[in-house]
Amino acid sequence: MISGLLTVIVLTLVLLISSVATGGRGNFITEGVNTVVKTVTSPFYKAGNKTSSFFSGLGSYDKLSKENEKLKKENQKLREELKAHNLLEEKLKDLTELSKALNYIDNDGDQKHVSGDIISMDSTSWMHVFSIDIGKKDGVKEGSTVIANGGLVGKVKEVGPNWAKVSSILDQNNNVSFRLASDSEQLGILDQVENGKLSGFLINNQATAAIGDKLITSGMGIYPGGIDVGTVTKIQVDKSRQLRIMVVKPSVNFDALRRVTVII
Amino acid sequence: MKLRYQILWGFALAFAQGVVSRFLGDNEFIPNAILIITIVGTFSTEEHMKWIVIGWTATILRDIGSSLYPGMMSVSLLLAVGMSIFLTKWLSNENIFGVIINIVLGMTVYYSTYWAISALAGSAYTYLFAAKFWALQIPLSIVFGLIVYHFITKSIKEKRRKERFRKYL
Repeated sequence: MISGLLTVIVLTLVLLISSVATGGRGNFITEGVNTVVKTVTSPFYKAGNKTSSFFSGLGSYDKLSKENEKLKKENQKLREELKAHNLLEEKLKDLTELSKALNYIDNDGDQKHVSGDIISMDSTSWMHVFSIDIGKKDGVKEGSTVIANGGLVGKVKEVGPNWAKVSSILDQNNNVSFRLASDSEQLGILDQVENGKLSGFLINNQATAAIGDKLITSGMGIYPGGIDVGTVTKIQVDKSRQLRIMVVKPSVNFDALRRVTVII
Repeated sequence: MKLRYQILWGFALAFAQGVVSRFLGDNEFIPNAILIITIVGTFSTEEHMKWIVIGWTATILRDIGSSLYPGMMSVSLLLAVGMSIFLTKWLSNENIFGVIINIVLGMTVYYSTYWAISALAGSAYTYLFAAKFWALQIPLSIVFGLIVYHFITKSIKEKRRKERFRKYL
């Protein structure tokens, strides 16, 4: 029994030390194990997701119906705004012709999206690391941005042939560079995670954000620009850093996340 | 039970936990079945190695698939099992209160170790924040653990009763 126990302990410590040393990246053994396990279990996990969504939908009919009404009104408002923006299309066409003439490469237009289901999460519920059922064969790469319902989820940390491990923005190591949606000149960084909420500061310490202000990615960090990050819920002064810290509620509800989209 | 069957049971347990948790949805109240089965099995029987192999095989598969740093869950499980084995010297494993104390202490050791490793690796979550999550799991974990205990010890209790009766005679 002692030799068996020692073998188990040594194997575990080797795996943990090597994974921490490589920053959470696996090796060919863990990739192989992951690929086999995900291939076998993915259909069952998807079935589980669908069943769970079905029953939770039944239970929240009233809430869904109110949300539907709210979305219809928002849709109507957006249609009216679209009419007003049609005039700007002509101007945009002219600018595009000019950029082609000057050989300017616009990377934003090349973005493709691929969606996948969440098939496993870490067991603690507070780390927010999860696996999805799309991988290299779908075009997913390490570092790809992950979004859900238009909001920022995180980035791909590790990828296999038919799976990918995603580290969410609630992971301490995932800083997010943002700008205020109401004032695009004001840039900032979300660099702390405190008990499930993000916090950060504006680069211009004289600028202020208000509670309720929406934040979007600035495009200057690892994430492309224009993605919803969250809403400011609290502003407090950090005397040690002489900064006004904003506490931000993420726009994505991580507790109810079932399906995500990867920008490839 | 032979080693290969223990490993197969570990695979089945890892698979079952993943599928059932997806069906039930991500809920903080759902117990960690692999942890509970392993520590209850280790505490209630003398076949410690069998339960360690089953639990560790299941955990290592879940670890590789879903942990931020593969190996975290496995190290935490081994320490929790160590606690269970230690508790067998101080608590009766024929008493449900002993089982309940084992479950609560085992979960505390497991999640505390998991938190400590993640904190060393750079996570900024406080211990109190993490503790809220496993505290929510305790009630259902105890219920699940007692059900597991009942099934594991059914045949063992009968065997012990007959041995004591024979000794008494």
